[in-house]
Amino acid sequence: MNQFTSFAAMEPHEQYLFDLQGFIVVRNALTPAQVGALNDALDANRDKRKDDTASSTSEALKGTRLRGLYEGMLTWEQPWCRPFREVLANPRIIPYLNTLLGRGWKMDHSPFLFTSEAGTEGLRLHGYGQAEFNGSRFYHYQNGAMRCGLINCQYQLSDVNPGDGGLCVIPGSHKANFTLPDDISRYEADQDIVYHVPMKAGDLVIFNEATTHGTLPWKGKGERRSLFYRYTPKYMHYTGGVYATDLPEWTKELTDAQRAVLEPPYVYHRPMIDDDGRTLSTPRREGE
Amino acid sequence: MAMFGDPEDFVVMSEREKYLYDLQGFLVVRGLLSADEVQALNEALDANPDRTTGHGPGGALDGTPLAGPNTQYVHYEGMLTWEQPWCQPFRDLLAYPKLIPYLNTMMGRGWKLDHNIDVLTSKPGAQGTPFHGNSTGMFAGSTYYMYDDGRMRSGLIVCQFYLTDVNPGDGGLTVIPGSHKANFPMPGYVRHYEEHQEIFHHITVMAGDLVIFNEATTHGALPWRGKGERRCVLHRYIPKYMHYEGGVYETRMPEWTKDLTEAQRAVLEPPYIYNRPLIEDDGESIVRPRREGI
Repeated sequence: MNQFTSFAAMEPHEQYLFDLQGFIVVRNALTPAQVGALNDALDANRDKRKDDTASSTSEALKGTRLRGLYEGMLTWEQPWCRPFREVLANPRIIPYLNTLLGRGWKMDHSPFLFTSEAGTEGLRLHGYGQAEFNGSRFYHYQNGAMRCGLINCQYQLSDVNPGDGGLCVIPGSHKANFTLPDDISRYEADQDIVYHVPMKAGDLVIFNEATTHGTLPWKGKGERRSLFYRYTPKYMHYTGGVYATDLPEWTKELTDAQRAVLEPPYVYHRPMIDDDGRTLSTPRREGE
Repeated sequence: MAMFGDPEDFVVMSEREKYLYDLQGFLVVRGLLSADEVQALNEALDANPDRTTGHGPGGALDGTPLAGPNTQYVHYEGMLTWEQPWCQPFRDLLAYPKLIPYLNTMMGRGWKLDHNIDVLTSKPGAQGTPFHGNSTGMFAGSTYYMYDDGRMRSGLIVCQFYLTDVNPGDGGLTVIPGSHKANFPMPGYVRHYEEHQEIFHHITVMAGDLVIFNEATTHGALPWRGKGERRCVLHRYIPKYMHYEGGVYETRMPEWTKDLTEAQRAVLEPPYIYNRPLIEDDGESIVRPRREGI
């Protein structure tokens, strides 16, 4: 093992900002040509738009429209898949992922894209800091090295100006030791601690999933177009993804509980063995 | 469903066991397996003497206190797919009901097997195993111990089910209690048991006992000096969202990923650690070190 191999890493002032705030804005992470190609691909596939059903349950975040959701871009027909595939290992993000996850990071979930038009609702703030350590969504610093679980890379394909809405975060919340109060989660109290992140097309914001984040209702003149890529360390898998898995035939001879122990790594709806050692329950998410 | 701040409403370790594991980074559970279960496992091994592999020659640690003339371990392999009835006692350990409180408490509900199950045996004269664990002083998200608000969480943990006794002076599994919380890199002299031997603890057990230790707890083995053969079954477990290596499930990359560059495909690979393709600074070339950057 060599922990000290030299590789591209974040600049010291960037490390300071991410450690302090739990997110960082990277200007011009995409070139204008890349932004143009991604926007062209989206324009050519408007029929693939779906409503995002993760609707806000907050009065302060309500709107008259649902967010638009695009998925499956990596397998859109050529040439439209190509600009999305090129973002997978975008050289600009390598120093950030190396520093935050260690070398050997991987894609988690699948890429997706949110769109919003004026009047589109927001999304409750979520991300729970360190109220309890969660090995899939955490921030930890030790002896000069930062380490994170799941992180989000959100590229903007159109400008986000002050007051437009869209991504907001609570700076420093990745280190919070107390549980996120419900009224703050609904953006109905202490709104002054919430920071809206203005950006230009081509900019990237990287934030830790443990950093409290949400979406403010969209009030911009143009369409919000935010492209999400999520990454985890090489030993972790949260959900989704491109690779397929199978359990070999002989495992059909096992009990349900024994098979559950042999399943690949994932979080949602995982079969969990009840106290009797035989029956299973499959809650959406529990016990991380 | 356990939420933040709530007590965990499923079967968990006793308060005494929590205290001991948090303090020391390992726990001995006496008499976990019944005499019949131990016998069935031993009989399965006795019936399959040809399903073994060595662990490298003896002599590699000459000049250190871990030296011995014989290989440190002989492993048995593939026990889950041995013919019936020999596979059955090993399959019965996969979701062993008495183990559930420990795994629930250490990892939260939804743990999984990692690596493949292993059987370690040592004959008298077997050399020891160098000490390893929390050795860098840096946080590793796959091998760690954390505590918050009454709740413990671990990355990879090792469960050693003993099939034979280990008496004082016999050698075998030895740990440094408390090292799962060490903040400084492991000094070089620890690796080969060369100084400060008073900080090490040799674990004595009876057949049927279980030792659970955190992979971050510094651990190794002293040369085996017992009268008989040392035998233990190793299961490694990890939280539901993690995968270290090996395992039973199989993975496939879809056909369309052949259109991607090597670096793009590397980003889409399933989770694992050893010999993983790592993307170099140019964003195109790939290296595959055995293990790096945890």
